[in-house]
Order: sequence, then structure tokens, then C-alpha cells
Amino acid sequence: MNVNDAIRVDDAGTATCVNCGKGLGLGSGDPLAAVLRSERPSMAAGPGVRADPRLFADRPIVLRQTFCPHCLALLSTEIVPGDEVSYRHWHLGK
Amino acid sequence: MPLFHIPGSEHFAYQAKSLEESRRLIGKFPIHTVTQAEIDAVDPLTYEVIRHRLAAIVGEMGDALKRMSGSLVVTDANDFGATILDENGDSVIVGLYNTQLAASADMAAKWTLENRCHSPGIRPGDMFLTNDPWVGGGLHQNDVSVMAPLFHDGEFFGWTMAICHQVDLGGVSPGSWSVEGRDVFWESTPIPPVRIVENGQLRGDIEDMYLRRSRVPRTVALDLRAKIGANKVALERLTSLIAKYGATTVKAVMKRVMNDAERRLRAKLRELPDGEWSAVAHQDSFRAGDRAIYKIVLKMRKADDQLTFDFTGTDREVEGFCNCTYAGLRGGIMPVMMAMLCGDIPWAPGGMYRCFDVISEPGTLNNCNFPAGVGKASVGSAWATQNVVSECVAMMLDMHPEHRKSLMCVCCGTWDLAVIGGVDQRGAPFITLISDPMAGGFGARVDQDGVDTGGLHCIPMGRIADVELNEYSYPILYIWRREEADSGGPGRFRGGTGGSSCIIAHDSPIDRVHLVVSATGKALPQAPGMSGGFPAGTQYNVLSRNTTVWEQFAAGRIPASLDEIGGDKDILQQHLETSLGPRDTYYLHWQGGGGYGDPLLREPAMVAKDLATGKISQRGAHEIYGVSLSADGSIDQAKTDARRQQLRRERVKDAVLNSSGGPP
Repeated sequence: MNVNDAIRVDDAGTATCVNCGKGLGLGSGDPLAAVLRSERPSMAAGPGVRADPRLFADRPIVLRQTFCPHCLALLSTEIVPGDEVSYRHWHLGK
Repeated sequence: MPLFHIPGSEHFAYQAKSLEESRRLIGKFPIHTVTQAEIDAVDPLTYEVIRHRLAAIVGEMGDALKRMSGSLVVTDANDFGATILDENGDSVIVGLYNTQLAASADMAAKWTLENRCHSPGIRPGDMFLTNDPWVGGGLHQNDVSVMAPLFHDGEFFGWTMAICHQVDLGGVSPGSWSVEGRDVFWESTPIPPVRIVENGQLRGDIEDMYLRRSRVPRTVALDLRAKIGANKVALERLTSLIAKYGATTVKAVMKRVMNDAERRLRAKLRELPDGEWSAVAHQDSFRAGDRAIYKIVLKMRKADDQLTFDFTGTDREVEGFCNCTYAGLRGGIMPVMMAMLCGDIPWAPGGMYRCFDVISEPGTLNNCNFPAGVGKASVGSAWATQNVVSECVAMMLDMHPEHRKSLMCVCCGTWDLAVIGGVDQRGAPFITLISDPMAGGFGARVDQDGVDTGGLHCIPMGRIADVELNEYSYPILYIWRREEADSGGPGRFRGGTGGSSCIIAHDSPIDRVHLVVSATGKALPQAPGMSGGFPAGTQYNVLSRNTTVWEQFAAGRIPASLDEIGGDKDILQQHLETSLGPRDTYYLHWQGGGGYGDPLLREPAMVAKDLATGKISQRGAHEIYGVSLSADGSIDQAKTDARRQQLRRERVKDAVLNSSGGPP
């Protein structure tokens, strides 16, 4: 089953990259444990971020992205407070 | 003053009850109802005829509101709701207007029936008014509901309800958007349901009590009559329908409409995978001077044919005016259910509500207690709730090969509020909100871009007034209104662009226009993308003082950018109150929709077209999409391939293994 355009998951819960077909987990637990995670200042998201977030808030704001460790395909993107864990997850039922 | 519990306030906080409990409260109040056998007995042809007639009646309510109102928010932006409800207060059908409003109509109807049927009583010819967000019927005090009971042969048959956004109902700041407010006492006082119409006559004492609080009572009075008129239209049409088909048949159809919506939604849910999807919606700043960031967290679970929206982990209510009540929470769920899950199902909230449960702790951002401030609830925490629900529902749909085509990434992350007020060019006082942000960007789909300045998720028939109509109605001139490049979230499929307007005060006898600004999404965008797609752009508001606009007009030029406007620039904070002098301009730039998929996978030809049509900038094409164009505008494929490879490497330059848990 495709989770989205970037990630596929099989009946055993193993996640793979849609782009290269290689695994995104480490064999147990979190199916995305092997993906690469990057955090950069939110203005790295391009000209759509109109102004420095420090004008408006005290907490650090980051562009957080994850990538396939094999082909470097982009898997997820969010702009969030950098001191906060990611709340964006999915978990399929049995 | 810190927020504290006010004894007795819980009376006004609507609590869902079983039908048996509700019936016990109303005692011997005569109710018209039907049996399951009578529901089953309606033939398909009669069912469809009456069902469509009910939809047409709601449409006629909307037409009546627009014809009678004098507020552009109603007549030209369609920021209102119209609903028909049954004798239990369940919404049978809603108009294609503001579906956030329709989501809480049932709460107000149930509360009124349970609390007003004995004193002062509910009788033919009565209508009830409320703007209490804890009771329901609207999300903040500006949403004023007028509900009319329908009786047949001495039995209470159901309700019709018209709800409009009123441009001002008092409170500290014009427009009732009290940007410095810390609790509800800074805002317009909520009115629990009161009998505004008695035996067909408008009650002068209640109307005076209602209008006395407004800065523009004549405008609000006209809207009140529009709502009464809309209800009268609906009551007449429903009475005719009952005369033609019989009360039992009409009621049976109303019940079956809701049953069908439930049955078909459950069938769709069974086709989708079971699982749990979680997301977060942020809001930066809850009042003027506040630099904090708040979160609404959602875990959405789907098991078989039932959804559970679990908001555990959401931040506690805050001193400010962006909290929302439980009505706002429901208002954040229902528009998404309708648009993404029920596009092919009758919009009967009374049936759809049966398909999901809500877990939410009172005293949190989107289920606040009295007296937390809620003046901005509709586009504050209710809207943020809509964003997080939208994201979770879309993630669920994405896992189904067919239903994923119905998903949409989050639309315009919030409303870019600009209330202007003062004295108009005819010497009359005025207050209005600029409705242009109704043209938000739609979120991207899995196979196409989001619609540019397409509208809002929660108002299918939302519109914006013509520039000329705004200029005719209020003492302002537009320097421009346009789509904004790069405002749509980048992606393989791009989010729809948001837009901007730039205005200057013009022709007011007092030579200035008061301005209230309230817009979050400046520190971080509020319309996230999916599957790697980027969020939409951030909100951006700039006040330019002492510009050279008039000199340029005199020279036959129209400035086309903030730089060309000249003057002293002030990038505005999220919430403030100020005024525009005769040489000052205000630029409001609202958000687009989230993108879907990796922007480096977007067809270069689509990027080139976006660039040529102003949807993205040269910088966006180069930095985010990695597309290189030749001097003649054609795609340089070799350079594009190289640039995209370079960007792929740069993106992971400092990346770490996700499971490491530590910072990159």
C-alpha cells in the first residue's frame, strides 16, 4: 500500500521509498528509523517565507525535512518550532 | 486578570445529551416525530423530490439574506449559513455557504429547546437570537444566529436557522476583534438564546439590547431583518411542502436524508484502511504583544466505519482572543468532512456527526471554558482545528488508490484580518472587514495543482467583493489586488497561490481610516504540504507611511510594488490597532495552499509556465524547483538536471539519521 507519493508500506509494516524501492526502516520498531532528517532555518524553504520569523516569535523556527537514505528523495517537509518534536505520524491498524 | 472559573458559566456550555435525556428536559412540550416504518415507507421518487426541495429552500434562505443585508460580508462574500433542523435539533441540510457556522447550528437548537421551551416558551411565530459561542450557532460573537421554530398541528416540527457574520457588535476594538483582549470581557458580550420575535412581531426591547452594543447598529439591524426574512421564507416554503406531501412524509424524508448521509459515509470509511494519523497546527501569537507559539495536536483514529478525533496534547487555553469553544472545534471538523469525505454524499451534518467521536479536554485552545477570549475563534483556533483535521483526513485518504483523488492539502492557513472603520465618503460611520482573503489558495491534490486564489475550505460559495464595490462603499482606493508569486506551497503539485491587496485611505471627511490587523502565520506558515510538499508561504502585512502614491497617480503612474510605493515601511506584528493617514498604504498578503510531493519532481515545463504566469518567482524556480531556463524562456534540461542533483545533495548536507533523535 502506498502511504503517499513517497512512501510505500507492506503488510508486515516495512516502509520503502517509492522512488528507489529501498527500505526506510532498521528492521524493527519505527518503520522510518533509517531516513535522514535535516533541519535548516525556515527561510531555506524559499521566497514563500516572507520575513525572518524572529520578527514575530522568540522560539526558533526550522524547516524540517526527511529523505530517503539511498536516493535522497524528499519524504516529508514541515516548518515548525525547532524545539518541538514532530507530531506528524501515521500508524496502520492490523 | 488570569482566567478563572466563573460559577454558573457551565450552564451555557452545550453538552451533548441522549435523546431520552433531552426529551426528559422538555417534558410535555409537544414534538412531531415519525416512526422507522414511516421513514421506510417513503418511495424513492418522493424522497428525491422532497430532498431536493429542502436543498432549494436552504438556497432560497441564502438568496433572501443576500437581498436584504446591507453588509458586503453577507451580500458579496457569502459569509453566512443557512440550515434546516429537525425536532431534535439535528441538522438535516446546510447551504453551500459557511459550513463552519452550520457545524454548530444543532448545538444552539438543542440548547434552546432544552432551556427555553418552558420559559419563556417556544411558540408559533417566535424566533430566537443568540451569539453565544458556548451555546453554539456560531464560532465567535460576530456570528449571530436567528432560529425559527416550525409548528404543525400544534406540534413542534423543527427549526430553520440563519447565521451571519456581523461587522461589529461592540467590544474594545472596532469589528469586535479586540486585539489586546485577554478574556471574553474585552469582547462583545455573548447573548444566550433570547426571544427576538414573539408571535410574529420583532421585540423592540430585545432588539435595542442587541443593537445598543454595536458601532454600526443600522447595518446590524438590517442584517437582523435579513435573517428574520430568510427564516420566514423557509417557514413558508416548508409549510407549503408539508401541505403538499404531509408532515409525516416530509419529516420521514428529513430523517432519511440524515440516515443516508450516515450510511454512505460509513460505507466510505469502511473502504479506507484502519489506522491512526496525527498532525499539529500552530498559531503564533494570541493577542497584541504576544510572541508565543501555540499548538493544537490531533490523533485521528479510524476503526471500521468510525472516526475518533483525539485532541489530547493540545495546549491549554490562553489569555488572548484566539481560543475557540467546543462549537469552534466542531466547526473545524465538519467542513473537512463535507468537502473531502462527503463530496458525493448529502451534506446532512445530523447523520455525519454519528460517524465520529471527539476526545477533547475542556480548558484547551479549541475547547475553552468561559471566560477565555474567543473573539477571533472562527479564524483562530477553529481554523487551526480545521487545518489539523484537514491534514489527518488527507493522510488517510492518500492511502486509498481511488479516494486519494478527493484529498486536498491544507488550504489558506488562516484569515488575514483587516478591519477598517471610520467615516465614509458620504459622511456616515462605517466598519467592515476586507473580505479579499476569502480568495485563499486551495491545497494541492495528488494529481493537480491547488486552485490559485480559489477560496476557502469552509465556504464553498465564498466570494470577494469587486474592487470597485469596495471603493464605492468605503473611503479607500485599491492600488492593486492580485495573486502573489511563491505563496502557494511548492511541490510536485503546487499549492494554489494566495493573494494580496494594497489600499490607501481616500475621501473620508476625517482624512483617515482606522485599521485593526489580526493575522497569524507570520512566524511560520499554517498550510502544510504533504508527501514532501512544502507549506504555503507565510502571512505578510506591511504598513507604509508617507508614501508617494498620490504624486505617482498625478503623474499617471500606478505603483506596482511596495518599493515603488515609497514611504517608511513597517512590517506589522500579528495583532495591532492603528490608523491609515491620507498618505499611508496598507498591504495585506494572505496565504496560499500547501503543496504535494517533492518540488524537484515537478515537471520543468510546469515550472516554466508558473514562472511565465507569475505564480512563482525566478528565485523560486531556481532555489526550490531547480529549473534552469534559457534566455528565451525554454528549459535548459542539462542545467536543470545538474541543478536538481546539486539541490538534492545540499538538502541532506547536514542531515542525521532520524532514529538518532538528536539535532542534525
